Amino acid sequence: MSLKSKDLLGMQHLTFEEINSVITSAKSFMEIATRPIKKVPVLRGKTVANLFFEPSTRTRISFELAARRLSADVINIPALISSAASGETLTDLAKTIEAMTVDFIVVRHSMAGAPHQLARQIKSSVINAGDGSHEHPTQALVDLYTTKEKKGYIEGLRVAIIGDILHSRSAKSNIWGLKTMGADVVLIGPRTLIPPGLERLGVDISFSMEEGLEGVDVIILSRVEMTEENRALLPSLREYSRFYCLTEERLASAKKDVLVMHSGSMNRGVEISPQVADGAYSVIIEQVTNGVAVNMAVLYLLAGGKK
Amino acid sequence: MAGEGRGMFAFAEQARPQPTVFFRRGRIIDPQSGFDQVADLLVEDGIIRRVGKDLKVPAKAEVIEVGEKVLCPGLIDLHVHISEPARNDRETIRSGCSSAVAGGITSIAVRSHTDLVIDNQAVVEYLIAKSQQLGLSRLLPVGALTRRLAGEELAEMGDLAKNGVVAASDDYRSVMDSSLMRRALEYAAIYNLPVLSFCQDSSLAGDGVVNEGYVSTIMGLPGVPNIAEEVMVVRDLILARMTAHPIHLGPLTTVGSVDLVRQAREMGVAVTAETSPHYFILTDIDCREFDTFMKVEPPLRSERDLAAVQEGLAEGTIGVITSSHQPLTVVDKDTEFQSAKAGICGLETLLPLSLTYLYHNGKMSLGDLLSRMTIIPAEILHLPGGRVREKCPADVIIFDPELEYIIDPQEFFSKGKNTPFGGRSVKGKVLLTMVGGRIVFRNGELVFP
Repeated sequence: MSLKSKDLLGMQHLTFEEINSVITSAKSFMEIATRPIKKVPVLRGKTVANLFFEPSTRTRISFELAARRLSADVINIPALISSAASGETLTDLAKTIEAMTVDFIVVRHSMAGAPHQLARQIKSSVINAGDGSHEHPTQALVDLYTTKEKKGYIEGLRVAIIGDILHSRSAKSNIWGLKTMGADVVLIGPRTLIPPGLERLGVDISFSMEEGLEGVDVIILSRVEMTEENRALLPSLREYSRFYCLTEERLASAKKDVLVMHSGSMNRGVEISPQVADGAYSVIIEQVTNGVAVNMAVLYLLAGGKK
Repeated sequence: MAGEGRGMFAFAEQARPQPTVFFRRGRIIDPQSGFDQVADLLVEDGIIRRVGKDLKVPAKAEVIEVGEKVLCPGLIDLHVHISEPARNDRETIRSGCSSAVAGGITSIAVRSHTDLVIDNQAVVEYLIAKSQQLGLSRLLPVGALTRRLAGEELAEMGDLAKNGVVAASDDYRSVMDSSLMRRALEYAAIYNLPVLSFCQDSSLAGDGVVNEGYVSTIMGLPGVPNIAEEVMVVRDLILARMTAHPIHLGPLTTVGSVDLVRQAREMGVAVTAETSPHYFILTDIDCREFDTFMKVEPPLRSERDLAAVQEGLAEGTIGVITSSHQPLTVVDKDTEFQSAKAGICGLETLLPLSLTYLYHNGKMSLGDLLSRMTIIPAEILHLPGGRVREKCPADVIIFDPELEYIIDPQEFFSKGKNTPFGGRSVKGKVLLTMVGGRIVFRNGELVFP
């Protein structure tokens, strides 16, 4: 088992078989977390660099833990400024990293496509840990893994993705991944937060929670914030939560065994009510545990998939 | 100063030796008259002395055998940027004019940009004097419409016109204040100064960097909707009709813009329009791999828009093809897509790309295609060039329409190597460029007197 590309840049590039390999490998790595000694020598002697151009705690720690459990050496390079701001070209940056002979580079960037541009110029494997509003493939893989674990299958499930689809990289990655795996996808949110052209990917769009949640097997929420850009797109968070907050009443439209996930850090009371977040359908905390195993699987498969 | 009308400074002949040149048996195309025959052409004293069959060769003349090639008016490019002196690393007057003649372009209309704001006499005089000293392509400065391109107060258009600008434009910035734009048109009319307007509503464009739609969504980048252009096209058309002063719009990139201009022309509004090769060759999906060479302003549009632009060109709604020449450095382009500067270095690929994608593809006849880069821009700016006719300035080129080659940006005379067309095979190559009766470019090399 391995991945075709040297990099993991986005879900739009992954095939059905590749996604399945990640899910299968992650399942075997899950077991390691239950051992007293949580370490295997899969990546001994390899170096993983966390290159974070944008602050992140969850993703960075998850990758660091995954790399350490595979016995890799980890370096964290936080708070870098963008190429444009530094006066350094992306090629300069790529050559610098290359010169340090790093095997894996985990990149988080506020600008879409930066990991792709870097990956083209470097022999090391690049993992996109979130680029602007573009993609966040490992988060989508976690959501797919969690769905598969809980439901036993993905094909034919109806999945609702709710929130700021326009700016959510996880939502975009989830759309690609879910469609590749044969799920049915409905996007729910205010019209101003749903980007154009998604019909081409074969998804349904709904501006109403009650209507959109009808018969849904899985719900994936994304974080909604009052960013500078959203000021022109959304009257207020209060208004958003009045129509789109996932409450127990709204959950009633979905299937009885619905699964509730969140692909980021929660904004309680805005996109999800505390009762639902802590309720029986929620697997939000399990997603975090699964995240480490999925990241281990990604590193392992990019390394060639040999134990 | 020789002659009246626009471009009188750039077309004033310099005290340089004016050789007598005899072009023998070439396929001479004059897009204005529709002349397209194998004939001879005699150049003397910087002007076209005679055009005709089996002319007598004067004793002192240099004879050039044109053979199977095309001899036509030198191209006039209405949309060029240079950066001297603010950013000589991007493009100087010398590198820009060299690049122009290598591309068969004998006159470049240089517009303002961040690096070069043409809103005062000193800048206009500098551009004209420096380019005349070089004696490569003619440089026609386009004055600003508003002071500092700020869109707040009128530029001194009368003074600029007296000093030699050929048109007025704020170029890549639309004048957002509609009242000011109205007054600018009325004021420019006093001096019969054509107004060139780049159409983009900055509030609708926002911080967009790619075409809004499927592509902006899957790339996760802010988009520029078609309406950002079309809203401005409509406004400018209404103002042009009201003020009865000619306006030239573009580059046009959308279906809606082409439709609007077509309708306005049918209604008799004095409007002309331009587009550039990338808008009839590339589409938004070409940006998908985050190649910053594909980043242009306005952004590359959809297949549907591209088809409309081609149709608009073929039918004449879009009468002009420009290069939108925007030379940039590695630092400008080798960066994140959102941070990268927009623009393509286009002077040396204008003719080969147009020939390949419009003429060889069967969309336009050779004469029609050449008119888009010769006589039509000449008429818009009231220039004496753009014609192969007796007594006209001897600005002519020879190109081989069938010669195939691969575009290599490293061979550009321009300092800019930023082209998405590097490595692409094209058909049509400029072999010789003559400006004012002097050969300035021949067989791949500049010729200095």
